[in-house]
Amino acid sequence: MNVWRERALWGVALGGLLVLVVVSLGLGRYRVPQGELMTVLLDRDGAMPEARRTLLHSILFATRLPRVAGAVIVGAALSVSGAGFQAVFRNPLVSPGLLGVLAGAGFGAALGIVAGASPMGMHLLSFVGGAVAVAAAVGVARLFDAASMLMLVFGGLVSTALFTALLSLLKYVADPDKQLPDIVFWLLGSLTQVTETDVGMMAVPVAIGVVGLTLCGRMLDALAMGDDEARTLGVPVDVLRYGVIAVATVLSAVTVSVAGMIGWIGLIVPHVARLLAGPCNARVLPLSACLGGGFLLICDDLARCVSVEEIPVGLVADLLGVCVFLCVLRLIRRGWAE
Amino acid sequence: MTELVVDRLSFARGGRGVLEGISFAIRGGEMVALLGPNGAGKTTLLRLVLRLLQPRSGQVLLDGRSISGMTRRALATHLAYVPQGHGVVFPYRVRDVVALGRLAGGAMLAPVVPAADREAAEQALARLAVGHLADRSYAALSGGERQAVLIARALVQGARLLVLDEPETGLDYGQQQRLSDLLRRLAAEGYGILATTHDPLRAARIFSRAILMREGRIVADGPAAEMLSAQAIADLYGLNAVSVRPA
Repeated sequence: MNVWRERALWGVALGGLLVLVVVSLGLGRYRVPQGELMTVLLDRDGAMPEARRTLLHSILFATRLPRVAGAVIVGAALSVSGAGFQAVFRNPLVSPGLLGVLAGAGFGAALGIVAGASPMGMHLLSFVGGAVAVAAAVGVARLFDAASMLMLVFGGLVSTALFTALLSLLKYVADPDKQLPDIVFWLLGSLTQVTETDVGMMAVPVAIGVVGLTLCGRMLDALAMGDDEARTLGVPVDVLRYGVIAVATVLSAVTVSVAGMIGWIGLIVPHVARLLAGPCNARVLPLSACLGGGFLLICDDLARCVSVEEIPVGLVADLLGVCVFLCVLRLIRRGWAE
Repeated sequence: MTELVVDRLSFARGGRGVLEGISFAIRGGEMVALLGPNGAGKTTLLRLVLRLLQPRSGQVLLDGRSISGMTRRALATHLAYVPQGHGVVFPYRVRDVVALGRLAGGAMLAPVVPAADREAAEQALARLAVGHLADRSYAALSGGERQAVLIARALVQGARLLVLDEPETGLDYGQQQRLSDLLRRLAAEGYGILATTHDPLRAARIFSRAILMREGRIVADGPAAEMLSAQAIADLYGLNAVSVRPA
């Protein structure tokens, strides 16, 4: 890709995301006109009546900003996580849930609901659940043949099955009037309860994860040639593989703990990124973050605005994801192997 | 000049001996063919030399240093592996594939391919007369082109010893001929070359030296033309000497 095309791509991607964020802040049950929105955002609201200013600040910064930021961070984290898993497994069909992180984190959250944990406790349980599920998958693989990626995938299948079963058990024993609806709603994925604290909690690990994985981009390119070849090129394959799995797991688990199950944007978004920027991971990973953040933000805007009753964003993301996937499938196929 | 020494190397898989007491040395400028029937242990030997397997006993030395104590990166700058031209799931461009050879000698954690690496990749491709492939997708290349690209990557690595796994597999006659010329040229420039091959008649013409393996042992080691007589080939593969007709 030549330098100018690359600059243009990043300009459009980052600029587009910024515009989306600003527009999203204005959307919602209480419509804020663009003019007023910009006045407040650019901190030129000194002339505004005090009451109006307080109202707008409360709507924009206290209510909407955490949610908008949450959507961007969750979308970015899931997409980068998916791109990382796809690179490590050399397979474009892999999603972040491959090693059981989503199932485990979902189980953890459900456990929190059944046990009546505090919001913080639920975040923690969900995160730990995701990490334990992936550790179980890796453990199963190492039990038989640590070097085999096939065993790792089998380990993931086992772990996913186990935690899905445990989740079903929790649903079965949960109070059908109070807890069960909470669990079901959680599993649909939602950003309604994202707070400023959540955003702060997610931002740091997600930013570190995205930067860290991006720096490993060229080593991941070498890994695409096969394990043995990567080793002879000087890449510490095992450290890289398990390191990336660990980071991608943290990224996914964090999103589940805050926003519930928002499935397969982690599968689609990296494809679109690859289509736009080519297969080199140093570009695919950050571009996935950008596109994923924007995509989930659009989904969340729809979830907030389409009807009076809010629709779970996970549902919107799945539906919109299907449409996007079908639209780009032709192009994506071209991008796999010419 | 780089020297590779394989010293009394043994390897076992599942308690069963696969290689037994393998010793030989390769210097820069030598072009060594590794021959033997399937299952003789050729590929296992290559993998041991590349430290992709751990020997049961014995060692591999590069310029007197055991490779078991070297980092992967240090090893990669001495010893390059040229696998059979294989497919890749993601459509990398040729120049990106070749630039990967520079990972070991440069910055592993780089978000973009450094300009120096891109230049080195282009030079290597031009040197092998495949500069026109630089912007093509590696996955779309023919077997011969892929082989040339992977050799270019090995050159970019800066290694002086090349280990090739059946490089002529899947190549047509013209491509095989071009590959032979290329390897001979590299040997003349001082590169040491170790390649497994399935074609003894061809090896006798092209390689300077042949190592014959059977059932995990070296049965002959010497100048290729002498080692690969019709009788020797027949013995190696369990054939009647009449059916082997050297060119």
